[in-house]
Amino acid sequence: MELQLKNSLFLITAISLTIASCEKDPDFISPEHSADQRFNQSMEWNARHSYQEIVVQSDDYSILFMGDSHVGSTKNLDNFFNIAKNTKASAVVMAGDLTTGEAKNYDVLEKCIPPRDSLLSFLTVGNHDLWSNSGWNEFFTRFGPSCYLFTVESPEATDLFISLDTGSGTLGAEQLAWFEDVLQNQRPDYRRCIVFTHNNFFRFRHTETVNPPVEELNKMIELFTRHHVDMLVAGHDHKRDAVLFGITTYVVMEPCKDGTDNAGYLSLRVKNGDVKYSFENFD
Amino acid sequence: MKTSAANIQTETNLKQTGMRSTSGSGIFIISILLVTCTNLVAQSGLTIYTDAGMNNVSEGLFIKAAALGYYKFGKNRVEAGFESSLKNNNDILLSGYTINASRNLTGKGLPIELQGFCTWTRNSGLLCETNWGTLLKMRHNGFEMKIGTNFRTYAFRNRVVEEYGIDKDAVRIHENFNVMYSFGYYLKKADDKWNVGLSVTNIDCFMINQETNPSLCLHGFYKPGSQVCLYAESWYKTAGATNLAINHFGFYFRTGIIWNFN
Repeated sequence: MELQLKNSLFLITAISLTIASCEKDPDFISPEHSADQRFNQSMEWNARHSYQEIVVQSDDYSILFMGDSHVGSTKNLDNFFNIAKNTKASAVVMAGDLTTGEAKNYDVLEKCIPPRDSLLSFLTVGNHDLWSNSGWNEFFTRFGPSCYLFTVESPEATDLFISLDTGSGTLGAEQLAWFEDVLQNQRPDYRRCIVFTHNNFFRFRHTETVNPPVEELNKMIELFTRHHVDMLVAGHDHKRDAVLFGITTYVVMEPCKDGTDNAGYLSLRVKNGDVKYSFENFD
Repeated sequence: MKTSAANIQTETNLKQTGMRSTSGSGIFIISILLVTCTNLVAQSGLTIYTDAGMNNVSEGLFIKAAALGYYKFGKNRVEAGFESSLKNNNDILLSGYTINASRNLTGKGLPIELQGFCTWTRNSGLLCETNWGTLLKMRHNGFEMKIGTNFRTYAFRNRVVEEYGIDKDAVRIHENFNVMYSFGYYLKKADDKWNVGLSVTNIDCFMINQETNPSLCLHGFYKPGSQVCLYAESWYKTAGATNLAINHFGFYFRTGIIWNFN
């Protein structure tokens, strides 16, 4: 009798969930969180706007990377932009979780980012940026695509930088195909290749942050190795790490968020083809 | 164009790839030792299944087949098997093998089983992945729970190390103490003629995902005779259950047969 009651409850619950899911899509399959949909919008944007080509005067340039500012407040972020301008960085890269996903925080972020004629900024989304039902639209309407390329041309060679959108925990099939195509057909034209995204790849410590599924991770490592990707810069885990695996250095940055003890950013310097990086912390 | 990673330098020393995974093998060895006290009433059997499905990296349909044989003596059980990739987007035929040993530790009425395992898989032409670990299984009425930990190592294959000039310290990477889990509910008791169940898990026979990438599995079993069990499973996999923004990753269907020889 008791077992029959349990079975009935189980069936009722299962049927209720099925009916409910037919009436309203749960969040995880909503367009807002669809990696494929964001990729397609990004590609439409990229088709209308050519990729940024930065030209530097010597084969010695720097780019500053940050992630996880989670705006709110912008003390560290303002500091970051000032450092970038004062050190004459060629650009800054902002690797996701820049906001909490709320429109008001996107407003704050937009006002905080320097005009393009004073400092070039390259942004991609993190999972927090997509939160709520409008995070992606807020990002896209203000900053454009989350998946794109830019290049830095020095008198000696040109280096390739690729932004990937891992905000939903996976690249999605379409973005992965695009990335593979870029590596196969464009990577050979460039000296260095640096990929940046939000989600870090490996679990160097026990953490509840999300990494790409194992199947995707295997595929990405294979692509990075076959096509000589020099470095992956990511955030997400809020704890610095750097590991050389194969021929790729996998870097995880500390957060730029105000009020965190380890708040910092990554300084990348390319000099005569050599890539140097250092973790920097805010005072 | 030379793109050697040796040219990448840092002001902070690069951590060499990962921590040692000796504790994983230790746990496995202890589990093997657990099964040495035997009560020799032997049983054996074979599980064969095929998977067909798609995911974000498969570039279309993938088909896999696997066979696992077990030998049970007293409270102990040893199982070994292999997985073959019949249709995929790379040239891998033997995509995995596994061995595990378990011992029934049933106390007063609550069936508990402790398992140690080692699984080797290849999802890429360049890499192989090894998982060692231990798993505790419990079943009470319709509820089934598995919980454990695994030690994962990604490693480049020898020919790849030579081909790409990979530094010896950059050949492998370890992830220690990953959490494994499976929480399921079945409508009927384990020995009934048929059964249906639903579980959420990051474990499959030859694949262990991160705990943050769970799958939802619907199981169905039918026993036409005392020695044979037919089963079908439907797996749905997400990317990032704790990620705020969750995305579909893939699905596959499995059909199989379990044949108990005795």
